[in-house]
Amino acid sequence: MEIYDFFEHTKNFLFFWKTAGMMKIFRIFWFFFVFEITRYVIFDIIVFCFYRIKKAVLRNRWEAARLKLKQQNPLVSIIAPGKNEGKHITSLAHSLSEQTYKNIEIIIIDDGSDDDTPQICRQLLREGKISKYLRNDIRGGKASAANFGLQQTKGRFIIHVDVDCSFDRDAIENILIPFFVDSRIGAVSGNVKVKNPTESVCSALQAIEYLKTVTIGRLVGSTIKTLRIISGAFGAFRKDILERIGGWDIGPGLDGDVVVKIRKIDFAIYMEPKAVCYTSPPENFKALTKQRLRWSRSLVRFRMRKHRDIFFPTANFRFSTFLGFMENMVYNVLLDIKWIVYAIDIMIHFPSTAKYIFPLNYLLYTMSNVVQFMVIISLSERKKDELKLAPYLLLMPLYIAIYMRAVRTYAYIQEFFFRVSYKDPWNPRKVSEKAEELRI
Amino acid sequence: MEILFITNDSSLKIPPLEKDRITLLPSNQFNIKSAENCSAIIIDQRISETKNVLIEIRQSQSDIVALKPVFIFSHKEISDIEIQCLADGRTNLQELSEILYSADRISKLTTTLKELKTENFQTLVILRILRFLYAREMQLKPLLSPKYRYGYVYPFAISQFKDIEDFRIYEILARMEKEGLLIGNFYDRVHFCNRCHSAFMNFREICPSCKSANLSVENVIHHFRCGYTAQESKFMQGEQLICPKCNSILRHIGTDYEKPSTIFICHSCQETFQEPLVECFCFYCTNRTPVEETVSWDIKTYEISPAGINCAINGIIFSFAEFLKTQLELVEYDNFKRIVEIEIERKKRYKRDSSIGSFRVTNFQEMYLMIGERKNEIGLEMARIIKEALRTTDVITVLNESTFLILFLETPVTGANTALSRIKTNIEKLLVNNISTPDKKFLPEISIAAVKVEEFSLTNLLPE
Ligand SMILES: [Zn+2]
Ligand SMILES: [Zn+2]
Ligand SMILES: [Zn+2]
Repeated sequence: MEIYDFFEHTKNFLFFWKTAGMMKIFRIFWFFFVFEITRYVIFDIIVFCFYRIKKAVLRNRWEAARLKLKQQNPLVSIIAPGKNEGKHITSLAHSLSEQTYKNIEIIIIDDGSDDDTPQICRQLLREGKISKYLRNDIRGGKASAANFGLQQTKGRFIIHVDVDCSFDRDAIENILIPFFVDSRIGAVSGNVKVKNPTESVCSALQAIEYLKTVTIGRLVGSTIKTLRIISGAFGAFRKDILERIGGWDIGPGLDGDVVVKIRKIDFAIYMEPKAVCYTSPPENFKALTKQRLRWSRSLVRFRMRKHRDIFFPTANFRFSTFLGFMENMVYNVLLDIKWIVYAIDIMIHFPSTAKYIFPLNYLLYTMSNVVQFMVIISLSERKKDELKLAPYLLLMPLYIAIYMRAVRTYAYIQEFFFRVSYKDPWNPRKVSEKAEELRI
Repeated sequence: MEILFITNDSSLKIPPLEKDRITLLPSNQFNIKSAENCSAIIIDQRISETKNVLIEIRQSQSDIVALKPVFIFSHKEISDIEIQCLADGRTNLQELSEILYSADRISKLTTTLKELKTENFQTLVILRILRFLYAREMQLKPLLSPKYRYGYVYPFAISQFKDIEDFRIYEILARMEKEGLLIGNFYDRVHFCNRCHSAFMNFREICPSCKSANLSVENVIHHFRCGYTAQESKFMQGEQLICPKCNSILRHIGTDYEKPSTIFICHSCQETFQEPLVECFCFYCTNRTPVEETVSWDIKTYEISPAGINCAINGIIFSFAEFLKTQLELVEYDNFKRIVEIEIERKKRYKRDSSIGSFRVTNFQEMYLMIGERKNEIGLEMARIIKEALRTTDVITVLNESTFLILFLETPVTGANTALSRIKTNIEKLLVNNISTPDKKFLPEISIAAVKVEEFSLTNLLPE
């Protein structure tokens, strides 16, 4: 009976769209064809091809850069600030000790942990697995901890990592090479992926999301020079540049903030897909929601408040930075408002056909996801493993178009009208109060 | 009482004494034979041979001589640590009568001791320590001396060593406590150099990277508005604190900035760190070592135990526990506990009825005092009695000098009690008949108890 129903529905569905014709499909899904397909599929593929060609053409330059890195063998300081991450520290130190690039100092900054972080770090220090353990008994927030760590570094390059991360053996080597290819590069973002992606639906969906937004998204951003964020999880910086911009400003959103500041002093940001880092994502949707609300609020706070000057043609104005910002604003803020308008539009103008519209919409999104996923796999260094994520693509429209949009819209409203980020316990109270007072 | 006074000062006027006689002897006429027949010796500190004479007496082959009460004639406190350790005390013409009582008591107790012959140096040291303590009825208290390499020195105890600074004394005392001859009480904890055992060490904080002690410590400042966090000197501009990142003045702690921690700066290599190493520098041998690698030692005061007294009087080191260990194939207590745990597990599966019993001589101290020379014989007999009452599968351990625990395999509590009663009756008989002397009857007090193996705990088995 149910199977019969299903066939019946499918038949109706196909018949409906067949009689509707292409024009009507385009009229109803104009948004999908105009924005989604062009931006996330066609444009990405073009840029991606451009990246591959460029990389192939400049292969000798990259090989020369690798050689130069090995010859100069500069000291690289890895700083890992964190609070109550005791359970992750050992595996972080372990994966860093396995690196092909050996001239590193590892500095853990403990921002007032009250777990077993001190004991673990002292043990690692005795064993020589980390170079330095710094601790602030009073929590000062992530920026303060990172700046404190930066103060104590000796390396020519600084790599900021999150404590809950671990790294491919050649990750440090690969993230350093771009600096030797182009002296205008001030910072390099690593390729952040999700640890144990098929452990739960929540982590599988995040894994695909990271592949879309980090692996492809940032690669494209890097290629067209609009990359606007370097993951705190894995980002490399020239120390002289970090010192010029005064290190990190208070968060949240300090990862994006630091990029804006580097761009403002005219240095380029690059993304290296071969520098692979694995992060431990939030384990359930509740924790994920909390994390994403914070990320999204920071967008409003930093783009629209702190760095308003980017939108105005001042001395620091750069067109590509502006473009990157605009793209970010359009695709995040405006499109989120748009999908509400779109849903209302459908309900008003095509109320009886909604049951045909939404399934096709879902189908179209899934198809575009599949295409994008194929591009990702072609780039992947572990194709077989990542192909296992394919079944979860069926859930992606739900995750991206409904769950993520809802979370994001809610966060924007919170921040825009209620300045919630200043109350987020992620920053110590004293710091948030100061930031709000200064409107940053 | 015959007292020998070694002095070169013939002008000394000895006040008349009631029943004691003091003979003056010039130092060049002293030989060890002359020490034999007196009850006590006084040595004038002004003679140059004071220390040599003292050592000669204390290290004499003869116990009678070595244990003699020896006093130093001096009007001042004795400053030489070695003399302090070897002599019984200080006296002068006015205080002469005060030492006579103790000299008398020491020499009386000394005469009851049986002469001993031993080739083994350690055994000799142990016996001499016990006899010193026994004859002087005193506790062995460490003296503090800044001139002594180990900081604390044990008077008398070190008398047998050629060099007063012989570290073996600490090890011997610890061993004696472990064997039940001495009862130790914590006095102080010291750290010795791990190369020369000297206690004179300089503890200082050093740089983990270049090991220099040239360090200074600074506050870390966190500027709230820009997140800049660095050592205080980076903010210092004259009297003011100015943020090097954002150039604003830090006016108010708590609202503008905070000091979340401190940081060390090494002035030899510019390294910064929060946890300096702590290093020990030995003033004696210039050894440098991390503080964790120094030798930590508990200095104790010691008093002689009943077993020690028995040993002092009879001249032979003996411990029932040690003796029975060789006779009965006892297991160590830790192993015993493990075997019991295994048996509890097995019992759950096989429904066996095993039990544990205890056997304790509550007045063992008295027993040790009276046991005398027949201890080996009695020990063998005790072992035989215990062996007879048990099966070969039973497991025995000794908890301390007086307490044995027995695991009776596949034996219910009633069976264990029967075996324990048999042991108790036979050992009581043995001890009453063999330890009692004509003038004193020894009545052993033996307590026994048995419980099911799963109820095993020391409180169950050994109620106070
Ligand atoms: Zn140093
Ligand atoms: Zn500042
Ligand atoms: Zn030394």
